[in-house]
Amino acid sequence: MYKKNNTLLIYSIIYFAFLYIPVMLLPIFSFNDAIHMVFPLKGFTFKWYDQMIHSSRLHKALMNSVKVGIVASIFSTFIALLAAKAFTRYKVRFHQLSYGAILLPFVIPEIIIAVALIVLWTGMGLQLGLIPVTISHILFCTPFCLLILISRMEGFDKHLEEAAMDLGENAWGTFWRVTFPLVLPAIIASLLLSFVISFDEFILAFFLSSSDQTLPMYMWGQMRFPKKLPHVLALGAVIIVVTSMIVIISYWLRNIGNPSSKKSNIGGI
Amino acid sequence: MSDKEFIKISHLSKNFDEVAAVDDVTINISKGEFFSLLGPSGCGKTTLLRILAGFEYPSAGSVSIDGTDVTDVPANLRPTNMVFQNYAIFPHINVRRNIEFGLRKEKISSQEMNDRVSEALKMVKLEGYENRFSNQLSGGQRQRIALARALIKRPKVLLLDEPLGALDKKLREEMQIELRNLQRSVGITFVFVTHDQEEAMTMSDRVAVMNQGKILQVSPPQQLYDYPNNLFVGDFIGDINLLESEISNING
Repeated sequence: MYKKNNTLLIYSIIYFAFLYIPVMLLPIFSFNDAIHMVFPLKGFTFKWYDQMIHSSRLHKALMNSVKVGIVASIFSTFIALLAAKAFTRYKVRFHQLSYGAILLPFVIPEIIIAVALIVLWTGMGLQLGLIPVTISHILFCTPFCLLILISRMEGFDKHLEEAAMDLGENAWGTFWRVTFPLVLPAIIASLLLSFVISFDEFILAFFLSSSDQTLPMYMWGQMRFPKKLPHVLALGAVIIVVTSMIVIISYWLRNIGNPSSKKSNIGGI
Repeated sequence: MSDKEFIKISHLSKNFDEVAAVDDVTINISKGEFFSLLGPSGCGKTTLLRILAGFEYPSAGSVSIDGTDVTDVPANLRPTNMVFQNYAIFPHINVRRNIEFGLRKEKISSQEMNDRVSEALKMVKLEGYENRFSNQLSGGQRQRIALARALIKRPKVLLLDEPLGALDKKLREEMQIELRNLQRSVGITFVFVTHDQEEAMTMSDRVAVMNQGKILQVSPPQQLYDYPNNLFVGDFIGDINLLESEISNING
């Protein structure tokens, strides 16, 4: 007889504690009325949030991050959509090789990409700034987008596209009338996830951005001044909440109306 | 072009990586005929149908429909429409928009569009289902929608890829009769793919038996049953008694 034991339960509790307790400290200390992050907690305060809202350098960094994130997510999703269509619908020459090549930024250390790009960019005599940061983020986000879109494209019946052709639509019409609406949830999921990835990316931005700080760089810069720490905690707490919401929405969208992956497919970013 | 050669398939072959899925097939199908391609799975009948639809291009040979060579014509420009095995009803739009999907490219008034949709729904006995979605329909209803969606285009040839395979036995038998009656009333040439001997025998004007990419025999059902021209056809069509014999002597 199978005997139930609690080892696995205890293991998973420890595992989740390990994952989330450090993260939970951020929001807790962001309401603490003291500069140093030590227990016991002093009093409850909103002043760090107030300080965060009134910092103009923070606003600028936030706007930079949002700009980069939006452009990077749109471009990488577009590139990944074309690639996903090719990989799932056509006989691609050197299929494995080109698939691997697109996924390569997953395994290349970011710092290598950063150094390579900085050498290339300055070698061409161009100014560092948000443009090379955006380009590097497109490179970095595309594999994530590709995996999301490929799983959706593989999930739907290719006879639907044939049926559209059979009913008189050309390739373009078939894409807009059938493929696009069916892949739309995955496209939105891909936009959201790549935005989040770009939004909290540090190494590439650090190397390539010159004086145009993105939000993670701003936070890192503030860490050097103990007095500035609490409002970075407040900012961190807000980012945790917003990005978790985006990720949850994107997973929900990814599986909506896709019966083949209703209960599976939770992993994968 | 005579009516006997409405669809003319000559010396058609299709190879997938050295394997011949369709091997030197030549058939003529008459106008208004209910023609079945019968064979075990993997015999090449679906590939042949997909070549007629324009989803696959042949490695050799030619296809012409109603006197026009369509060998290199893409699927969207052919006078054929197809009913898919799994029906391929678009899940993101309702029944009405599924049925009128193929009319968008034809320049017709919205009045005529509505009339034709109503007519098509009436033909398959699904009036009142306009606003349903694919997941709210049974297998049999989906099959009818697929039929209406294809027939509303008024194709010269309707291609059916095992359309009854997913239905239960009782519904399948009903649909066989209904499909046959429908074919007679619209007068469109049907090319019907099946692996079910009984289905092919009850519905068709003529049946082509296929195996390993080749056409073995093309005959009306009764003749196929009574006079199979080789061992495979005889064995595949019905229960036969095989008596082994030896030619001991030939005189004359």
